[in-house]
Amino acid sequence: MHKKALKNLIRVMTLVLAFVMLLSLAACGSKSTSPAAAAPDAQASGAETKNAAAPITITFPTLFVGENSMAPWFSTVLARFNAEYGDQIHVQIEEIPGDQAYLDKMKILLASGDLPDVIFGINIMDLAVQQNAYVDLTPYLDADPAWKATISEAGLEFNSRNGKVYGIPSSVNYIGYFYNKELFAKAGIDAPAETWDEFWANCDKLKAAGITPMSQQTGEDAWTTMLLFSALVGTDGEAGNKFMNTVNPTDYNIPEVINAFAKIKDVLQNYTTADAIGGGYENAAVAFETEQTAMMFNGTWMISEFNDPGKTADGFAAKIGAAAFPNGIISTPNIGYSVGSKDKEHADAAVTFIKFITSLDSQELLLTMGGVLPESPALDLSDDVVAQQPILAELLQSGNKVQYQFMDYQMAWYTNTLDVLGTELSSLYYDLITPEELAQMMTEAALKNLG
Amino acid sequence: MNGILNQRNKKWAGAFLAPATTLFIVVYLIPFSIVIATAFTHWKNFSALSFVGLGNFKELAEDPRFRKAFVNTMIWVLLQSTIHVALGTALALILAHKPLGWRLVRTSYLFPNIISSAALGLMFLNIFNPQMGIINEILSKFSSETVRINWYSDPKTAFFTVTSSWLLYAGYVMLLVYGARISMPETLYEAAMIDGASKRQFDFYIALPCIKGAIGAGTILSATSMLKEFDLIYMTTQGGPGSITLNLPYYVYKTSMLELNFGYANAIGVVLILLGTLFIILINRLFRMDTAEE
Repeated sequence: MHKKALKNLIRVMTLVLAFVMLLSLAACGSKSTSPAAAAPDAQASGAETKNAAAPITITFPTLFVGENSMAPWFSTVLARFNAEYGDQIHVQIEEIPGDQAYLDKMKILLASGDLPDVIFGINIMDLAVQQNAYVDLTPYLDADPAWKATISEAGLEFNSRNGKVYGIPSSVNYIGYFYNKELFAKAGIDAPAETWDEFWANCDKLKAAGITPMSQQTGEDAWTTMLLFSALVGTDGEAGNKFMNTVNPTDYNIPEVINAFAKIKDVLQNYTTADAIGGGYENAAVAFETEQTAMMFNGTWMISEFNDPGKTADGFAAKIGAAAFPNGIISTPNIGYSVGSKDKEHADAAVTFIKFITSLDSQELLLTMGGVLPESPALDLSDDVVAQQPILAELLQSGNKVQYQFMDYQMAWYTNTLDVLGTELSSLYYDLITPEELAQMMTEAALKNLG
Repeated sequence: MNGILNQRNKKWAGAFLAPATTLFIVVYLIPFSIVIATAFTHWKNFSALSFVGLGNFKELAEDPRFRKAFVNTMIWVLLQSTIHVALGTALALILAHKPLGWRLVRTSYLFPNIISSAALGLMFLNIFNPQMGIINEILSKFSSETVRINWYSDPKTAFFTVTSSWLLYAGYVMLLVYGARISMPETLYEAAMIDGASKRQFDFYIALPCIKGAIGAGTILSATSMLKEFDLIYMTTQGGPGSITLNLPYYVYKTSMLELNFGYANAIGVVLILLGTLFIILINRLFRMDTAEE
């Protein structure tokens, strides 16, 4: 009798186990129950989502974590949002350090139809809009003219496709380069160059003084190197400037680009550190912040690192100046925060969060904490505010004198072209390929996006 | 009640197997089938699928990057199945004789295999850093000039450097073979010693044939590990410079994630599946792993 009871128990447990496992399979499946990117009606002004029961949870993968220079700002803003809206909206954060890792993750989620509620500033807008995966934010903006007025026309246009707004920007990219005043003085350089001839002459002076002129990186997305490239092309006459202001270019076989690649090869071979070849952003940043190099091309968000005792020595920030490129500067709106929610309730909550994180207060905080230029024309950049950021003030002053402005290539180019740079700039350095061949590779990579 | 499973018990056997079978079908078989089916389609940039027959495979045959990735992968499979396995086996046989410090060696040799490959990749990047890496520092001591070899980016050294990231660290093979070796009856060893065999003769003529199953298993694991090696390449060279260190798994990643060419990526996946199956069959035959030991 006892054996029979045991046998029956085992049989029942087997069935229960099978049922539980099948349930878990069902739970792993898609949660989608409504069409993607359902456009909310105009009544939804993005105001507080009322939910008397539990707060609604929205998902926000973010790269503002760890050592990212915007991490302290984000922590502060998130805490403020939770204090004000925590009983209504719970923001579920997923930490994804690294730009490339973030981009890869968002692409995977886009491909699987599982975008999070809030996505930050990466160049998948064309694909997402094509897949009807982004929520059209135009009705939210139209329902709240006061909010819309805080966003620049250029920012809205940059984040629009087919006349609809899909992203809300909170900052602009304003990029030149940082330089070490002490090292400059040691090499007998009084001020940053205003022409390219002066710039290269300064590099030679630095070399003669035993100082490596600049940080570079050919690995990862070759960010710092490509900023210099962008400047070389963007200031090379009207044709070069037009190229650097083109979104998704497909023909890199122009003299301005080829000449710039040739100059980059010269820079990599003669004006930078040995670990720039194949090295990533960290190699370039460490070289500059430990005063091995005199110049570093990067955006204003790096300013907060100059006062970080974990990254730089005491008094480092006081040695640093900022300048526009000779006769040019990267000045471009950013791709902003987008909404990937699949239902109206989550979309409303996501818009509430985005409104908060892109508010004038948040943008001003980003300026004072991170040195990032705010997007909103409504924000008065008073002398007091800018005076708190002398490095930024110097960059603004320098940038006001230049003739050419051009876009951030990462925001403007097809993402697979960035991968070509990461592997082929080393080939250029080692003479495996010519500048012409590299330009052709970029063209071929870009054309793959056209099907 | 003939046979082990009567009709009633068969139903219960089926019930026991159902969860695992269902999981296998849902998690492996269905995605596996989708990969194979979509390898014959044009599926790019989230466009609708269109059947193209062998179009993707023809394109693969003409793709210089695929050919380079294929050759690199084959070289690594060959090296891993031979040198890597030989190293692990040799060390296992030596450790089985319990020389001085054998416990320390057995444990420490496993370290590279138990560290996450992302961390390992970062470690190697710093070790081989041209500016401040320890390898160049040591070489500089023996040279009149400062050595600044860019191990991972110089086309002359990149392939060798990437290969060295995994070739020498045969901890798992060592463990497998060691386990098989110490499971052998001690009487075999005693009999061999009585007959006047040396330790090396015992290892070569008696131990190796007895443990060939474990060596074969280690060879399969090593060979197939090269068909999925991604982490270390992603962390160090991303397949560069050019395509010098590109392998098939990393090329799948590039074509799917960066170029959003899913049909083409799945075609590469099919090639990988076929290669894996082929290697398993070959290694099984080579080590006669399907036949009973005499």
